Amino acid sequence: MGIDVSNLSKNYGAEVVLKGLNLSIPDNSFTSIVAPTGAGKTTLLRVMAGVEKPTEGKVYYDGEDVTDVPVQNRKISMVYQQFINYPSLTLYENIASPLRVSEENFSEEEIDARVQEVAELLNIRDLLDHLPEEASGGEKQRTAIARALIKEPQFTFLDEPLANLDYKLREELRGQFQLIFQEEQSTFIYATPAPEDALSMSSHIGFLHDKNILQFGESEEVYYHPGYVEVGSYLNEPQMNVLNAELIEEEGTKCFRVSDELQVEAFDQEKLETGRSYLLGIRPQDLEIGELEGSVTFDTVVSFNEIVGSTTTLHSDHQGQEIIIFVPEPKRRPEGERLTISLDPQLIYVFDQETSEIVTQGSRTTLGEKK
Amino acid sequence: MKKRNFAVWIYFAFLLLPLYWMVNTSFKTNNEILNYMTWFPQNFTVKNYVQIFTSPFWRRGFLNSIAFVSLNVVIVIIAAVPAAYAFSRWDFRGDKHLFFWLLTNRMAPTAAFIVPFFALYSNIGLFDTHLAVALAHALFNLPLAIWILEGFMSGIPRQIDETAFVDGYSFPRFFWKIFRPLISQGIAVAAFFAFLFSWVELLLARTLTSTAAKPITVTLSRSLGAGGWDWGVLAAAGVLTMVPGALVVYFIRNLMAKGFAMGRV
Repeated sequence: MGIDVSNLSKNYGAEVVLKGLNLSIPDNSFTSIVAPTGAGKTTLLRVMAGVEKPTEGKVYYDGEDVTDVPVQNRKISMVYQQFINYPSLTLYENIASPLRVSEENFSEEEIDARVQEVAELLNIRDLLDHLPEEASGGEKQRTAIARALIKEPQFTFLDEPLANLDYKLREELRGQFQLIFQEEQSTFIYATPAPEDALSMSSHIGFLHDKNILQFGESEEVYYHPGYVEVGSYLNEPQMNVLNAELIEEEGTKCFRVSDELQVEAFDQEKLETGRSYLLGIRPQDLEIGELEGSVTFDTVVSFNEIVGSTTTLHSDHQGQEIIIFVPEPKRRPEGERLTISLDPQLIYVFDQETSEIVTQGSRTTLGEKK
Repeated sequence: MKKRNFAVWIYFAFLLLPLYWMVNTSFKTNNEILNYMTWFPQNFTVKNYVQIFTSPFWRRGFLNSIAFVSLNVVIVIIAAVPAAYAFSRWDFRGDKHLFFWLLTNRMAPTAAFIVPFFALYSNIGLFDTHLAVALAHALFNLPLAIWILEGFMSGIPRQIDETAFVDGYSFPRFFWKIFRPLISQGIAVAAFFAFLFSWVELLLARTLTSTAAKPITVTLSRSLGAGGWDWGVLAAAGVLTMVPGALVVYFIRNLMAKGFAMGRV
């Protein structure tokens, strides 16, 4: 059950945004649709919600074809990136509005009880008599979410609801979201370009790439077993290192050759073809500065430092290939400094260079296997 | 700074002089008007105003004007609001061309429409009715109103419409409860422009009426009495003609200030 999307295409004039997309979102899940900006997340959400018609294909809610059902007759709600509220109504009336137009004819007491309840949940009880223009960005978005929750929808669509908030507020609201959404009996579909949002909140992740869903599965599954280099690279923060390597054979053992200096003995040798090119995916947090026993070491030259919060994303260069190293402290290293990096070969993901599909991954790349 | 103020005062002086002269004249006797140039009425009189208010000839002119102007504003707003919504929210074949073509209607000279309007209205029995003038003025006012309202509506995020539909609003209910308050200023501005054009327009109003629906502007331009022009009465009528416009501007000035800033005026 849940939402099923079958062979969905959406064009805007000559521009193809989604093509032949299939997706099954399980009931009571919190599913994130993750993709870079402009990949069509919003379009997919809008078509699933029914505010836009697909060019081709069908949308099913609980197995029932709803492709032609107008949005008024669907039990859904939607929250936008922009803070959308009715400007002429108070926050109270904004939140109460779905109940007021509902065919169920709620009594004034019922409406008041529900409004107070969701307002409490979203921490906006003191502001209910304000107009939207008198509320801050965060409060506006809380109101929009309260309005989305009050009608107890079957499906709730959230289109980058945190994108227009400043950093601290984002963090705060993201934490609260997890609590709120756990309590609500609804299926949430959340579009976001931010992997950290998706990983922290969602039970399932669908990665949208090139007009289609490239990989869909439970969040941990998608994170630890990326099916494609795009998925693995994007979902890591900072993004996964992707190194070009050629498979060579020396004295009967197959080796990945990144450069003369960096050669790693291959695992799962029978799956690999000598002379073929592969992409090695290495998470920046899996690289260590300094020499570690049992690791392969190689040299890089620091190109620049990027301090993110209280951590550093260190960009460096190894023979023309960029190596990103995650340093768990805000520390600048001088440009041009030569570093020795240790790499555990069992932390490598191997992708095929032509198809970008996963070929094999090291034994310590999965959950619980890390040191 | 001083220099700039000075220029502004000069400008206002030139602007207000004819208006002042009309008000001044309206309180004079014909003898004084014709024989002396005086800055203030020597023999202050309200006789001219009394004559207008007591004469059914003038009163009817005012009432006729008010009738067809109101009718025109109502027609224009009722037609322009849905049209502007369609142009603002929906994509349909030729929408941009149609939108521009509408505006070009506004550019056509009024005189070009006199003969067809006259012939048409005479044939269908609309000649010399308030509706005839109101409809003819709608040809010019409607495009402008649509243009203004479209600008307003496009300034309101589409997502508000969508959110309302997702919440379960039917279209009419959404339009009345949510959308109407948001465009009320636009409606005020559009209505003002429709009023303004219709109130002062002379050519169509004169051609399409004879006696039953003759508006005040026509009365003004035709009030040649047996003893020549009655300048005092004419000036008083001119003052009274400006009053409704001034009142409208006064009451919707706050709406308009924001309206001018937001819309496409």
